[in-house]
Amino acid sequence: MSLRKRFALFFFSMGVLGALYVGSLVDLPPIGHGIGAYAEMLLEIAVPETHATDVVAAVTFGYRAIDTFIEELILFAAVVGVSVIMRRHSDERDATERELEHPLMIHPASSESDAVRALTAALAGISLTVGLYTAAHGQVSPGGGFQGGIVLASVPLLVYLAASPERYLRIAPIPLLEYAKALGLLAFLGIGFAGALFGQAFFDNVFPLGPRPSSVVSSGMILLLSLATTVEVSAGFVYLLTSFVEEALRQRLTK
Amino acid sequence: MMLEIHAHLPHLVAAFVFGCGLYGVVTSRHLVHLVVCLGVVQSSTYVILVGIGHRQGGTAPVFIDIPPSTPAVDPIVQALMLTDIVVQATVMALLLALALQVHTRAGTMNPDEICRLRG
Repeated sequence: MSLRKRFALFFFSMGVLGALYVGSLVDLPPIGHGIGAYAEMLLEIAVPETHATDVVAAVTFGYRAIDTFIEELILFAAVVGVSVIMRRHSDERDATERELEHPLMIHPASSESDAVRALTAALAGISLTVGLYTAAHGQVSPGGGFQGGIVLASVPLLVYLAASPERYLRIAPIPLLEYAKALGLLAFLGIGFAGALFGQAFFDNVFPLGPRPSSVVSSGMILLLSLATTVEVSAGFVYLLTSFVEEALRQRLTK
Repeated sequence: MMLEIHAHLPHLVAAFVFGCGLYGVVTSRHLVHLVVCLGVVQSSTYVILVGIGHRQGGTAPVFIDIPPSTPAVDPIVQALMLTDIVVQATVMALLLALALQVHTRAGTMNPDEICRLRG
């Protein structure tokens, strides 16, 4: 299809879609006036029932844990997909590459700039602390497994920039990442089955709720699911980063 | 009946972001650009989710230092959005890996040229 025909089709369909969309907005209630009945109910019962003061975490890992489980499956499948696509077949590697143990080992220093090395070395410890704090306090204050996992996943990359590829692979070895992302998902599923076996339903909370809301060890299943998610998300993202860094180094090597 | 713009601003912003992303997808000449435009299309869902969960004068649904009866915004859409962001990042990584494979196999990143090679 030529570019002009494509433009014509795009603007025609966007015009029709836009007209229908704006037309449908007229009868919608305006933004900011009232929220759904389900949300109103959760805001009322979530804190006394789950002992989690962050209702977003209570929804993610409590009331809608099954949805989060499916989202984690998508995440897992995408990471597995990347590893399948990026893996080179042995006939695709050339002789020099096959001799070397791992492409990350070839490149001597990651960063030539002292400023980058100093900054990333300083940030690595801070990121680790912030990541663990965010992951562990998700049920109390804004945070949780997804956010904490992402922050933690940036730590090995900072180490890679600050130190060397060897260090990167030592603190985040690929077999460990593979086990961790599978174990994170299995732990999530296991907590769900604990609810089915000892409680009333799949993802039913059977763990003690802790002394009171706003305590770090409160909220039972929500904290455990949040920690399982942290493992899953951080391992998955470090795995993705490793795949892409490896590929970049390989390309630089073959040039 | 006239549409009140200020009452539906998030809906309109979401539509605008969606349109911008889709325009990029339609006219893209590079697969990486295409993946980024798809990300823009998806970010329109964040605008609409946060928009429909908004309540005038509502605070964040975190009751650690406020009384439980304080009016708060919808926590469900926020939970949806937060998982959505993480999943989008991994799916974008998957698409970029596919783009990399296309580059090694077909030697081009232009979607039009890939079609021409096959057809």
